[in-house]
Amino acid sequence: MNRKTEKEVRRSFADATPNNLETIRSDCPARATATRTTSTSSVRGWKWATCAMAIVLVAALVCTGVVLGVGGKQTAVAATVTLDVNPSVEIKLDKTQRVVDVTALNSDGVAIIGDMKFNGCTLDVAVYALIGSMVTQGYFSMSNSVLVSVDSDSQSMYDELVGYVTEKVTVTLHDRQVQASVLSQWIQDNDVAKDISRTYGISVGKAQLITKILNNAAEGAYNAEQLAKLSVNDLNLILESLNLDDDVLTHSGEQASQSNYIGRDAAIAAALAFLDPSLTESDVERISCKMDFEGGVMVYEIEFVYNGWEYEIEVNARNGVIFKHEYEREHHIPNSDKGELTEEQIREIIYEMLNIPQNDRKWIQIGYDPEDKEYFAKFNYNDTYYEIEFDLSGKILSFESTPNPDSGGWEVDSDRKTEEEIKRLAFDSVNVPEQDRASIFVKCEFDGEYEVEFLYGATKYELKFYANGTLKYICEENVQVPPELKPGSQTSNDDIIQAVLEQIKNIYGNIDVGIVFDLNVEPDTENGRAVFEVEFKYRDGGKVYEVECDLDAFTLEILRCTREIED
Amino acid sequence: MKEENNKTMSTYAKPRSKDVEDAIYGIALGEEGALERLYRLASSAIYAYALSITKNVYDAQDIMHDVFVKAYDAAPAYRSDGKPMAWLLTVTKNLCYDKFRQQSRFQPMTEQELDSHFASVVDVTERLTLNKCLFMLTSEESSIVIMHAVGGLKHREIAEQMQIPLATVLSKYNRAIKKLRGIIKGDQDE
Repeated sequence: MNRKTEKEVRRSFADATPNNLETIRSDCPARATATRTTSTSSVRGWKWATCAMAIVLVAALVCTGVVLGVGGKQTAVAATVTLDVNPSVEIKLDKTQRVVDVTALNSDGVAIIGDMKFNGCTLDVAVYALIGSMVTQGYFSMSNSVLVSVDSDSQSMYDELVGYVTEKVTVTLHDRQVQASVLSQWIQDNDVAKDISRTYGISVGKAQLITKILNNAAEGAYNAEQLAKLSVNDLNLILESLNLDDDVLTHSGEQASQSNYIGRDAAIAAALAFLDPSLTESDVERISCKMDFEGGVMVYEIEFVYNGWEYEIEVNARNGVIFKHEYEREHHIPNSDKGELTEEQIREIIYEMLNIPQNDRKWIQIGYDPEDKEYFAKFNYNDTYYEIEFDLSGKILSFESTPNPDSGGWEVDSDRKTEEEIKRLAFDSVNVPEQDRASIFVKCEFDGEYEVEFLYGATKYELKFYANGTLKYICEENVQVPPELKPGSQTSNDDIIQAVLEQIKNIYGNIDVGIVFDLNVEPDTENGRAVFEVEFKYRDGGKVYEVECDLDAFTLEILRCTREIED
Repeated sequence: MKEENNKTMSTYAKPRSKDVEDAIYGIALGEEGALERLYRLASSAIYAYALSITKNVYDAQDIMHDVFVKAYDAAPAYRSDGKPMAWLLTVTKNLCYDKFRQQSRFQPMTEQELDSHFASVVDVTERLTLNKCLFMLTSEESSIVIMHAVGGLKHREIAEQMQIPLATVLSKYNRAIKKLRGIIKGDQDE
């Protein structure tokens, strides 16, 4: 039966094919003998002739009441395919996958469509023309990513369309020497994505991609507003760093292009040079480099281990400037393959050493100090308090036993440093000159460990110390610095409160500095910008007002201010 | 049995690769009648494929003309790979794309318009087949059917051409033919 239908198809097209040979022949210059003359007039001739025939035909059909013309009736939309690069365009298809309409979803999309009319053409023609237009207008000079989003109620239609469009996009770009990176997804009924789409004027497909990033990244790492401004290529780079395994979103082709950025090698070179200009990649261990988005800019996040410290350095992806610099003691983990004992084995050693009978063995907490690579145990047994330290081979380094059971506990504060000592250590650790220290605001908190934060020059520092003053962690984050301000210049609390009162007097009236109380100023950063968080209270007319402001740390300009009447 | 249609000059048989390549070499050598041979062998497949993309007889006719002129020009550089029809249909597809870029649109005809245009095809079943192939199948299905049934491309060649798995081509082809047969039978029964 197939053969019969096949034959009918063949015969029907053969009979329908016009005889155009003479026109073609006249347009093919004779070879060797050059006996034929060439002319294009005959081509035009048949074109005119056929056009004239068409006019007659159309007129005849109109006269007989036949409805003609594309768009004469509303065609049902069976599926929608959206292409996002930065231009976003939506292709509506009927059930035979013919194009019903193509609409621009942003201003770049309008330029891409231009005066092209797609009604009734095949999907491959539309994809070829749209992607070709994007190439011509330069959208793929620095990127290679395309997001294909298919909205269809039918799984089979989705499967068919997504494969078809992905292939067409890939081939079209390949023909233009672009190695495509295609993300494809099935549009889900997702209120969050629809909301993002409406709020930021982007396609639902791009909004769904953003939702996926927000759901899979660390909490607070990104926000929708920032991501909505990124191109699909940048979103693709972020997705690569998240290593998603997803059945709704699939990736095919190459990795997202980094040609808009300095590239992995340059980023690593910048990070290593920041630490030591003579360092090379072979000098460090466990190096990794991935792209991320931090404080509104694309960054390379480079991690490596060097000299027993774990470094994480973020490099601005566009200009190679160090954005953030963080390092902590390498967290050594005992490796049983190297003959290093496990916590369980240390526990067994203790049981055996103290001859604790099987039925009297309780679980003992074993601690591990990665800095000194030592195990330690502190516990009570038979009214005796024990403190024992082991090396990784199980050798006892120290052993103490006291007959007083009340002296037990895991934290021994006898060697805990004071806040003042810790602040001094913090300044020493990052080489703050003696003469600058007095004017720097330092936030210092103790919660088993000390956490110290302060702003100095163009850098925000976060340090952690063990209670005994051993440095555990340093994070240095660059903040924006107005060029006229030199690193090291600092501001006093008096300067800050005067600046605030001066700026809010037009709103809240004159407030004398003498009636201000409970003033608290803390340095912080907002999206890479250094700010002071200022809180104070004042009394006026029998009421107590509470004011909270954020100030630019260098210009002292108020960025945000709220005032409440205290209950 | 009538083997050829003198009016259209197109063959009713599937074009054989060897015959198509002979015609292309003949053109390259300046042999008289070679272009006509190629036209007889390949015109209906080229026209059908262009028509399935443009849905406009005038555009399809323009494109068919340009494909033959291009094939004529390129014939001396043609190197045999045993797939001359695949080459011609690739040229057809690319010229369709170019034409769309040049004129920013196709003006696809309605089913009634095309049916009127094909009034010269007297066989009712043939006209029905033409229309259903162009309007009831998806564009991918009609491309596969035309490439195989009219152009004589093997399913494997279609898979390479469309860059989809062979199994997909086979299943889509069988489904499309079955669909076509069902529609035509249904219409004839009414």
